[in-house]
Parts: sequence; structure tokens; C-alpha cells
Amino acid sequence: MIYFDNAATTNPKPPEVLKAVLEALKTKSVNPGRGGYDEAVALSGEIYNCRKKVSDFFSAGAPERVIFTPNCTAAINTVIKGICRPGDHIVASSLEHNAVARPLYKLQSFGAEVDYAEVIFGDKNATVRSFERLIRDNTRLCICTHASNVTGTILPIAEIGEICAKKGVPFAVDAAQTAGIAEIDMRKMKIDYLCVASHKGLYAPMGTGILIALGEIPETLFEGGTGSLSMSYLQPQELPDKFESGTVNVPGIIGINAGIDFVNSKGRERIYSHELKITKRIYDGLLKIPLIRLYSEAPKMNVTVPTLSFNIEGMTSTEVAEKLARKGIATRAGLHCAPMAHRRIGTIDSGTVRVCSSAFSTDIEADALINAVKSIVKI
Amino acid sequence: MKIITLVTPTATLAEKGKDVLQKNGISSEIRKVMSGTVAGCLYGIRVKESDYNRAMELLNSASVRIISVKD
Repeated sequence: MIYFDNAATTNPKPPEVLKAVLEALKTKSVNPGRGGYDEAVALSGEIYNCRKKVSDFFSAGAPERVIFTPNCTAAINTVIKGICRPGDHIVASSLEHNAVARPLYKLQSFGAEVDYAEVIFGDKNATVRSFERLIRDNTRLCICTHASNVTGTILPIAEIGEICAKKGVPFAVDAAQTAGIAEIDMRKMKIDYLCVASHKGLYAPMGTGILIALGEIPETLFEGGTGSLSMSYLQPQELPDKFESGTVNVPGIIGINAGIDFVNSKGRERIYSHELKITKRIYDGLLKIPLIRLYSEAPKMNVTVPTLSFNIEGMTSTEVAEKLARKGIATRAGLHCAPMAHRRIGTIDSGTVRVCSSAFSTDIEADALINAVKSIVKI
Repeated sequence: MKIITLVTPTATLAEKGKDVLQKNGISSEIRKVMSGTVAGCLYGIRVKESDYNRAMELLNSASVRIISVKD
């Protein structure tokens, strides 16, 4: 399989991650923060070291504020529903994934007021102004995607963070498409809540996500056993326990640790540069094919992530993806759980075919995709 | 050598405490503690008695909440 669905999850995972996860399953099936025996205590130490690694990676400066979640969507829900209440005002972008859009839609049904700032492609300043116009002094939360999972467009989160900080508005970022790829410095960018899909750009197993909560601590969405302060029926308020009820995904967390080591060993910028090079090769190749319509800007450092969307005139996106799949090439067709983004680019009825490269994608694979698209275009 | 246990409410705080102490040259170990109080399951950072004062200073500066001290 030639895999270009890395925006959904990265494939393959690095050998180091596979080794670490297998080792964890074989030798670390003990529950950290529960038993008092040496192995359980040692594993608690390992988990803490992973929190430190995550905190350092995103310049958070607070390992205890690193919360492991089942996925990025769970992290986003914790922020939105843990912070906002009926009647609150919330600002998001016009490109949000349903992980953000659906919880906001639900809150709207309870009386929350949500404004969506228009993202202006190719004009970062106009996008910033779009947010500035909507963020009020009493806005309860500003949340936006760092990069669109449909077009690959990177939003100006540092500038948006600055506006939020000046107005005292908590700022949350959905970094599902950027963690491990684009630069994210929580302190510098004034990000209060960072939501991470660790199984994408951090190459960890699926079923893992991260929330780093530097701001006001949200309310819990669920409570349970934490291995701490057990006599009380009250959920502990200490982080990260407050949000980690039940058994944590130990192999997954150890996979996150190994994934960050992988990214650090190769260099985040080097990986990003490589991925952009591959996606640019695909972009340039597709541009030369008749009847191809591209919906992304040319891949460029700090402007896009290595994701692009396209369609072939006269064919549905599903048909294209199916034909590519029969040629052994994995892409994703449809709305990508982001109808807002598709409405924004005018593809809500057709969807698009989405391509995203990874650290392991090659020029040969890019050329195979281009040739496959050429072969299925009906002129 | 007498050992003092500095009791924290969570495993993560205990690990953070151990980390802070280690960076400042104080060795410690973590043990689960059943306090017999309303708190229930807790985590102790065990240090030498001679390191107690400096350890408390460091842990307070790092916002590692110590809820009790046991001999």
C-alpha cells in the first residue's frame, strides 16, 4: 500500500515506537499510580518522564498540566465543555473540524453564542483581523484549528493568541494536524489549551491524545478512580489526576514517548521540510494534469501543513479515491469530518480527495500517485 | 539514618517532587502511603531527615503540595 492518508493517522509508525509499545505490553502490564510495589512505582516515574517530554516539546513548562486523553477530540471536548456554559460567547474559525464544531453546536443548543471568524486564504493579516473583530472582552473562549485537515492552511495562531491574551480571553488550539510538524511554543504563542492528536505527527499509536491545560482548569466531563485521595467521593482537583480517571493507556503513552524521541532525533523541522517537499511534488504533478482542481495553496513552510485536497472534473471524490485504492494508493475522499471547511471552499456537495505525506513518504510514492491520477482522468 | 516521608496527594506530584529534589542533589524514593485519614491513597516522597528542611523549601517553591509529614 502507498499510504497518503497521514492526516487521519500516520503510517507506518517508526520501528522505535513499535518496539517501545510491544515492550510495554510484554513487561509493563502493571497499573501506574495504583499499586505500591516497585514495578508500579517505577512505571509512574516513566509516565511522569513522558509528561516532561511532552511539556518540553511544546514549551509548556508544566509536566503536571500534561493530560493524556483517548484522542484529540476528547481533549477538545474537555476544554470546550469544561470551560464554557450556556449563554457564553465563543469564537472559532470557519475551517473547524467536527471535533470542535459539534461540541460548539451542542453548546449553542443550550444558549451559547458562537461566532466563526473567516479564514482568508493567502492573507494572514486579514484572518487575524477577522478574529479581532469577533473577540470581545467577555468572550469566554477562543478556539481554533492550527491547520485545516482539508486544505492544509495554517492559521496565524501566535497573532490570535496575542489578541486573546490582551483581552484576557482563554485561547485553545486544535493542533491535530500540526503537532510534531509546525512549531508550537505554548508560552510564546500564548496558548492556554493545546489539544494534540499524538497518533498523527507524533507517530504514537491510535487511541492516544494529549491536552495541555496551562490556563484556568476546566470542569470534568467524567469522574472516577484516580488512585489518589481515594477515601473521598470528590474528584481530586490536582492535575493531571482530575482528568485521568480510570486506567491510562500505558502502551499508548510509552508510544507517545518513543514518538517524540523519533521526531526529536530526526528534527521536527527536517521532517516538516521533507513532508512539504513530497506534497509539493504531488501538487506540481497534479497541476499539470487536465481536469484536476486543487483546493490548497502551494505547499510552503509555515503556510501549509503537508496536506492538499483536489478533485477530478466529471468524477466524484469517492470514485477517484476508490480507483486510487484499487491501484494500491490510500487517500481519503469526502468531507473529512470538516463540513465547515468544505462549505468554505465550495465542496460541500462533492467533498474532495485528500492527500497527506509523512516522514516516511518518498518521491517514488509521490510519482506513483501522480501517474495513478493521470491514468484515471477521463478526458 | 532516619527517613522522613513527605506525603503528597497524587503519584504525579510525588514524581514531580522527586524530580525537583534530584535536580537539587537530594535523593529520594516514592512509596505509596495509606494515611488512615480521610484522604485514603496518597504518595510519599521519602528523604533523609538531614535533607528535610531543604526538601520542603524546594517542594514548596515548585508547588508540590505536601499534605502531611510522617516519621
